[in-house]
Amino acid sequence: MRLETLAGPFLVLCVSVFPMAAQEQTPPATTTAPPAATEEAALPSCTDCHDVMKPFATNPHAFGKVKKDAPIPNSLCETCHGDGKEHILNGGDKTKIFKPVGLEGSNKTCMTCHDTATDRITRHGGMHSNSVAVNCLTCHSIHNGDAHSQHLLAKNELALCSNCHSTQVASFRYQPYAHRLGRGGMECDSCHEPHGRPGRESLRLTRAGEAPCLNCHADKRGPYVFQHGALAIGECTTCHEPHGSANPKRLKRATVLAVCIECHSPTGTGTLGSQPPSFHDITSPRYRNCTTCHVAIHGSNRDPQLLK
Amino acid sequence: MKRTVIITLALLLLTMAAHAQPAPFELEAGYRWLDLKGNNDMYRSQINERNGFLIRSFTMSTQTSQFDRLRVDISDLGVGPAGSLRVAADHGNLWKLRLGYRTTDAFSALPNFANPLIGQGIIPGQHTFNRTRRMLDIDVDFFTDHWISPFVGYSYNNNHGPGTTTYHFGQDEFKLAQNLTERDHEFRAGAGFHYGAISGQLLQGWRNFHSTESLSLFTGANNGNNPGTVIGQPVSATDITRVDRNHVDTPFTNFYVTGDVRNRVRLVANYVHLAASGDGTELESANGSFASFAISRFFTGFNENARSAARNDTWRGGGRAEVALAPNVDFVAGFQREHRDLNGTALVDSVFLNSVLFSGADKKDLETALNATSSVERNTDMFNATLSARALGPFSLRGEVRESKMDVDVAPDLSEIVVPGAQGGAFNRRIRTIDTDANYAKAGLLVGVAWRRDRANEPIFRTDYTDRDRYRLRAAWKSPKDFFRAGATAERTSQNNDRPDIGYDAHVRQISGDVVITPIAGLSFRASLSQFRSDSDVIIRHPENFTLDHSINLENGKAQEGGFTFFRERFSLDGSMSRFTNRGTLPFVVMRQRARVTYDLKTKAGVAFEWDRDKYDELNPAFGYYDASRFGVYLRWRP
Repeated sequence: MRLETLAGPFLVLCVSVFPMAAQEQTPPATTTAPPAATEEAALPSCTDCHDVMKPFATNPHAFGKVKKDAPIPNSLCETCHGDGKEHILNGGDKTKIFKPVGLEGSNKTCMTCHDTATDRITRHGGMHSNSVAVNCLTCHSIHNGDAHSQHLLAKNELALCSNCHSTQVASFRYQPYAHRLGRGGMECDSCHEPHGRPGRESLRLTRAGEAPCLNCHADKRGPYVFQHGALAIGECTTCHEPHGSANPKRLKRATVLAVCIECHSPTGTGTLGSQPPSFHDITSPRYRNCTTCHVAIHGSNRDPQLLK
Repeated sequence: MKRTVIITLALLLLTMAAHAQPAPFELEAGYRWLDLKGNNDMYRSQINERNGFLIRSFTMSTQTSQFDRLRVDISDLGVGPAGSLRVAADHGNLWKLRLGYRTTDAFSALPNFANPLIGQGIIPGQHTFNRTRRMLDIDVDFFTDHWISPFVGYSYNNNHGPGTTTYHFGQDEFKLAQNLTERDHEFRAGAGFHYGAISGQLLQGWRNFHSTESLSLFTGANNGNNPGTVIGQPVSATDITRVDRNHVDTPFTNFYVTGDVRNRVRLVANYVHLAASGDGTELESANGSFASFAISRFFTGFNENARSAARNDTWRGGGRAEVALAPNVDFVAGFQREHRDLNGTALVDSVFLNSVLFSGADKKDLETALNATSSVERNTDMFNATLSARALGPFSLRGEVRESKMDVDVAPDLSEIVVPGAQGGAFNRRIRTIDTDANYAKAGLLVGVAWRRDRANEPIFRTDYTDRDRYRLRAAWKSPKDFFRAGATAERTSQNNDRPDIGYDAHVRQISGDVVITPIAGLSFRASLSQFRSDSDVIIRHPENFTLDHSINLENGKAQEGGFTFFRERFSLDGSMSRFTNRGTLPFVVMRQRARVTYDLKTKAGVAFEWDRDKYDELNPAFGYYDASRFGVYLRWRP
């Protein structure tokens, strides 16, 4: 199936639907009507002063709460900012309104609805555990999110993560062999759970609980009759750098020989990694390029030596 | 592909013109030209941006009568090398749709990687591919505000395309043409539930993977890679064909449940199980003049028929408790157990046609049979306990202890063992970890330190550490009004195994810093510097003479980048240039220049120009040099 073929008609459909919808738009069935208090009606609207609120109708927090061509109801703003009456009556006195900032802002606003725990999310003990250093408002901007990012991110994901994880982002940005991030659909959160999955590197596992690499590289799941130990017991990162690498195939070493021989040198006991037979003269180019013969390096169903 | 994008753009323009009224979307689409000097294969292996039409970006977020929320995002869909489409739609609490589509072109034809013929000046290497992967994910949730919320989902992953590979056969290596098709379907259904303080989700999935790999002798590769004879006889092939088929069925279950106890304690339990069952067949035939040391014979033909079955039965289960000791002070403790059981059987029937002993005697067709079984069993227990104070004034502190204990039993088939030893047995590896970090955040200043220490009893692989320490120091400061921002990170990871026969010692040091200055609204300058140094050393043994040696790998990279952004009314300009130099085992220089100009011709329409230049040069030898400029002209539409 070539979905690019469908992408065009789909776009056309979307573009076609919207203008019609703009004309026909009616409040959704589940709309929670804003309080029709006469007191509120008598007060100026928040949008009279705060331009940032004008496009709020397309904000996920406004879905079902804003009527077509109607101003943003003050009650919607007050969900997070608290009662704004004093603020309005005092000519916009900033001390009379709650502005969610930092951890306190997250706790009093975001976490009142979003404090959920699942197998993959914790906001109390994970890497990003809603602290003074990293909290909801560090990454999300409710009013000024990046237009091209989902989930109201303050900036695009790569720039956002770069604020703290600049060394990791540098490996994507500068290394010649790197996953392509920021364009084309792959982002940091394709592999990492930003909301603090407990466990190693907050990895986002597949639905079947496997390493995130296998979400795309489905062929490497196996199972194989003859598993390469590095994959069966180790993991993809035994041989590969997941972000970016100076080495082809994102390998951890610059040459195939180095990748292989470092394990396949059983100089003592108690480690896994067979001894290559002595005809493997690694001073000869023929034997310095192990995968010329051992092509099925991830595993094979037919050949114990992974030759096919 | 180009035709598809042209048609798409034309239809889009017609549709928008027909409606001629505001629509809340942003579209940027146009054409990209490539000007390439140097090695095309290397360029495509690393970047692969080609000539053609491109929907550079599209974003629409709206409410309609059909949708309470409809959001569509497109990034780089068209000529590739990677593009995506995402759709999110909600209709009240009745249903919620998430659709994601990604396409990725993967190309590899590296001149001097795993290429035994590089000394003869033959490039690229014999392992190449030119494939496309397409992935689709659709998930629909129903009745999202009910106590029970069913959902269904489907994923599709298709990877296909030609390539070349090699085959060690008859005491030579032959280049083969390869055609690969892989299809993976995943169906899933389940329900989320939320009842009082209890919530969770049960998911049942069925995955079906099918691959077909067809191989044939590459044109002109009849004489193999190696000149000369084997025991006086030349080795050559007139034809080699092989077809491999694999089929894997994987049902899986994923379940978790959480419960709140008086808003102070949250309990989470999870369980995931997959049972992959694979079947494979192979048919191979070859004709020519071959030799085999395994059967000590010459032969002129080969037929093979293989059937295989492999299973992977894996489950993981565990739980954790999150206890709020005080406001912003939490204790989290958890335990996970994972069991993985891999086993396989293969029946390989091989017939060597017209075989004769190396002496020339005993001419006959010789049949061999391999009936192999293999198994790997892995059990891992993981325990962790974390105490975190998320806000002590401007400080946040976190300390965690973890223990991971892995027991592995490997039972190889005898056919795997060429040189006895180090291919099977029982292995036990326990890792104890202390992981801490402390941060200070106040008035735009953020300072963080982190330290992690891992101690393991035994390695399983020779590059497993027994001692590992990681330090990280981070600081950032942002002035009021965002006039100035500076950040720096320094990391060092050291790992080693002092066992005398292994002598593994590895270090990674990374430093990066960046500065952004915004002197006036609409103008900002940025600069960054990062340095990456990695070195590793481990004792190895030469197979040919059993002497001990050191495998040393060095990477010493330094990146500098500078750029600026300027925008004023209808005009914006963003430019940057960077240089990355690696002086390690594989020295190279990467230089990149980027520029992007946008100009709004009208309120709703504008143009964008992009220039991207990437120059890559390997210092010694310079097989992989390229200098690639891409020029993009895009129409911007924002009704």
